[in-house]
Amino acid sequence: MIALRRVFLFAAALAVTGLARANEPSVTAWALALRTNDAVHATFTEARHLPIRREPLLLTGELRFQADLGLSLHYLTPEERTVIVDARGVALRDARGRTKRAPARSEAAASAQVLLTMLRFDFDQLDDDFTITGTAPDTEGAWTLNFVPRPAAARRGLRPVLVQGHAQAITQLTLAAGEPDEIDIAIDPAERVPSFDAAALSSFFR
Amino acid sequence: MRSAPQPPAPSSARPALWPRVALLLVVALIGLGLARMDHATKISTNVVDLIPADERDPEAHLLRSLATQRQSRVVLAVLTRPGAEDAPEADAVDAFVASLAASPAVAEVQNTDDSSARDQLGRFLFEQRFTYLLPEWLAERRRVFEKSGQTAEQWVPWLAQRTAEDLTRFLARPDSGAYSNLISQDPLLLLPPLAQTAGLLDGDGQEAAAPAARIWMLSAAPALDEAGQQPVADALAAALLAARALDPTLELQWTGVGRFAAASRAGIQHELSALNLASIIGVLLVTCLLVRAPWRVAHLLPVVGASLVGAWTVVTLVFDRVHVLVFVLGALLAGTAVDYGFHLFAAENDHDDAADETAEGVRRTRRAVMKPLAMSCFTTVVGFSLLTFSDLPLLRHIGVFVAAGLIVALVTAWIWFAPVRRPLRPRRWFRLPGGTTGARWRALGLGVAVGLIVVGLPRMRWHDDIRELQLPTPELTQNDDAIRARFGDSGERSLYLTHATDLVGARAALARFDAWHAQTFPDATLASAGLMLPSAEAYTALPAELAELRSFPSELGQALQREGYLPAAFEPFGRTWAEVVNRRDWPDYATLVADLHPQLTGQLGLLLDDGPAGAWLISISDHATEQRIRPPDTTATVAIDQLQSLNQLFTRYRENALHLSLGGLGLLGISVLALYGWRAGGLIFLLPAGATLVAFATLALSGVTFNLFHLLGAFLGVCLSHDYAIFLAAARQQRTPPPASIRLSALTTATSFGVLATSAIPVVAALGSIVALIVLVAYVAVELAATRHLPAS
Repeated sequence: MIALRRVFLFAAALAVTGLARANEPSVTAWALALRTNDAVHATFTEARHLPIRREPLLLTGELRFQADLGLSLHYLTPEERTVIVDARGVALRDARGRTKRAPARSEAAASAQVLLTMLRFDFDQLDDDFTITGTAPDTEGAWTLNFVPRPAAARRGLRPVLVQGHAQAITQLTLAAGEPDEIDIAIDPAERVPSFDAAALSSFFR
Repeated sequence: MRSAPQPPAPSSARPALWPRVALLLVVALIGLGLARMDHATKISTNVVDLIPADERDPEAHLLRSLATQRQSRVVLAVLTRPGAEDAPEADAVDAFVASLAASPAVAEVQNTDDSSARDQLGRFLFEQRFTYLLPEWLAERRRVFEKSGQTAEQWVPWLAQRTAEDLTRFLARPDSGAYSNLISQDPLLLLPPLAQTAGLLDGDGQEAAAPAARIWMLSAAPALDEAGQQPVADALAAALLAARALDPTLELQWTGVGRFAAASRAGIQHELSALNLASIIGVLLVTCLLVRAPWRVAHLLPVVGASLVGAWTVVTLVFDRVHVLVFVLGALLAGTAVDYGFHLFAAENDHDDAADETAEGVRRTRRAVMKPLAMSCFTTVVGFSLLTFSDLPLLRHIGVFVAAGLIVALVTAWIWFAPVRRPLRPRRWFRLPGGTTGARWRALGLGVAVGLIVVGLPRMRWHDDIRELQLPTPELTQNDDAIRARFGDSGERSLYLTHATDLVGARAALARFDAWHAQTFPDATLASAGLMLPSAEAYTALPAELAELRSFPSELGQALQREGYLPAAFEPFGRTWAEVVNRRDWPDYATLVADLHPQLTGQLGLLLDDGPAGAWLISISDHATEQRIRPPDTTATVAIDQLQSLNQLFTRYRENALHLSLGGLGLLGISVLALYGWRAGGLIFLLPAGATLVAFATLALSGVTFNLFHLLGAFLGVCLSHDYAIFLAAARQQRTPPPASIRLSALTTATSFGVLATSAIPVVAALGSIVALIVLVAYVAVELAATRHLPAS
């Protein structure tokens, strides 16, 4: 479930775009401006660094996110599969549409709870698990947010996440940042709409 | 048979009443004995008891063994918060589980959202992966390699390259990261394929309709015992109270075999009482409509009562345990036993208002009736006695029940009506005229009958389902479906059961089934606890295989390098492999099984069994149930839904019953032909046979699907209508109209079975409808045939 845990952290990082109040005043001021409930759709390229490989493995797909729906990662290559993170937990949907969820009391599900907390902008609880630092948008609009799990959270399996963005958009996510099995996700410019259509909802959410 | 009309003569002497008193006394004493009988021991409500204990059919054998093992004790519970979007709080669920764990009615309880049991099993299998998983991994690749036609020298390089390529494919999956920290120790990927199917095995990982806590538990007592029913319900109620103390909004749904068994027992008991009562009331009401001075039909009650008491007594004496369905179906005796009373009591026809009602006249009339009556009783008893040769215990029990009941009814009727001087007087009744009009009616009746038979019989469809023997409980079934769906048991999953005399055989059969499944459902995933074990063949071959693979780590290193990996990262695997190759103390197969067993706790423990009665393995596939595609016999595997209906088994029982019925009919035909000659005997034989064909055709045209109990009902219908044919033949020999007792008998029997046709138990309704129809058709045929000797007006 480590991969799913990374996904949760990734989603958690996305949720920061909707920060209402971060635990560090310098972050709060500009992070509030990133808050949105738009439906976001973008393509991405994921580079999985593995300590057993010379080069990272590359995966591509499309990402959908809306604060009240959750996060959907639809991997297209090398194998079609969708990871859904929402209020009901985490689910994996294969190319035939068969959906399986992660056990509710697994490590993966615990990470999903963290994600849900972030999606709800309940940063009083987030503050218990993460130290959040960041750099405000520079003159060209580039910003970063760095989530470092506190020791107790790290023991539960939560790992560092680095989120990089430009203006309203997230451009790069780094899961397990600085660790041997780091995952870099480069997100292409996103399309924003008020909500997803019915077909997208049924295919990529639950 | 008929004497010249004489004025009624005063009785010469008071008739002796002591035989009646003695009869009532005996019936009362026996009835008291029956009431004091240990009903729980003697009478079964378990549908599985309908299958013979020595049944060799594998499906039935499996069903019997499953019903008595842990599977039947499983109780599934779901806690929800209606209207809420999130699942119940963990502390409330924990309180619920803790309360159940403390209950003596509960043997095991497990929150399925707690993955600790699965994690424990995963750790065990990972640590023992070279013992449990490597043999099959190697055997499978060996098969593929041998099919490729390469030389033996190419085996190790081929295996190394294949392993490296498989690893790359696996790591490219989005969900592979869960195993990334294990890859350096397990580049062969021994564990991941098994781990990825774990959710299928224990029902976890299945998509739920709404957030809920799912609790799996095992009752301490068998579900079919009362100790496994109400105490479990009480434990769940107490657990809900404990959980509601923390979250008052919680709602509980639960299901289990015990819940169905309790409902079924209560329902059948109610059905038993209601049908018997309604049948008796119906018969009496119809009698009141058909006879004068209807209060005198009270004379029939001792006959019916003694018949039922006699039948109950004999069947419980002959058999150690009798299914309650026998007594439900036994309600039919009310309709047949009363016939004998009618024939003796109403031993005059309704044209004969001035019948000889002197003591001697009545006795003479009764003696005349007694011959066809005894003949009728004899043939019916012979017919039902043939059922005692049936493969199905239920049919054997019914055969004895009805045969004994009929003999008691005849004897009782003879004793009871001996002192009765004034016969029961039927009311006047419409009767078809003879002559040309009668001939037209006969032609019309024959035409309609032939038409129905020609059109209807080809439409007959047969299907048997053991579930039709039970009282349907739609609400419980709906509840059960909803809960099982939450546990992943939906139409999108198929369950299979592989069985053999021992686990070695079952595992070998599972390999054959696995191959069949992969070929038949290439997109589906198969999960089985059996796949955690190697086949005995692969396990035995392991040391020799490993001896050939000493150079495998170096070959694998080269292959991994070619695939973009850092061979040094796999040093942990290399070290372990060296130990495995040099290992000499491989445990024997029995130890392998014994060590795995304790790891299979909770739901996982239900998936494998190797008791003295045989071994079986349950497999779960994520393809939808496909009734037309069944595993071949060579796989020794059955789909669980096959077990639910036992159609094949019951088809065999039906064929067996058909052969017996045809044998009985043949015997009956020979008897009547010998006793009555070709002409009258032919009529006696053809009338019931024709009525039965018409009844089958009529039901077929109305869209009924037939089962074993339609056949059983037809057999009974033939026996009953055979009576009417005998009385009709006797009347025709004397050129008189058929006796009114036929009408009384037919209409009361039709009423009795018409009541059964309203039963909520499908097979009882099937039996009731076919018998009622046959009897009515036979009665119409009797009336039509009688017009041949009646005047034109």
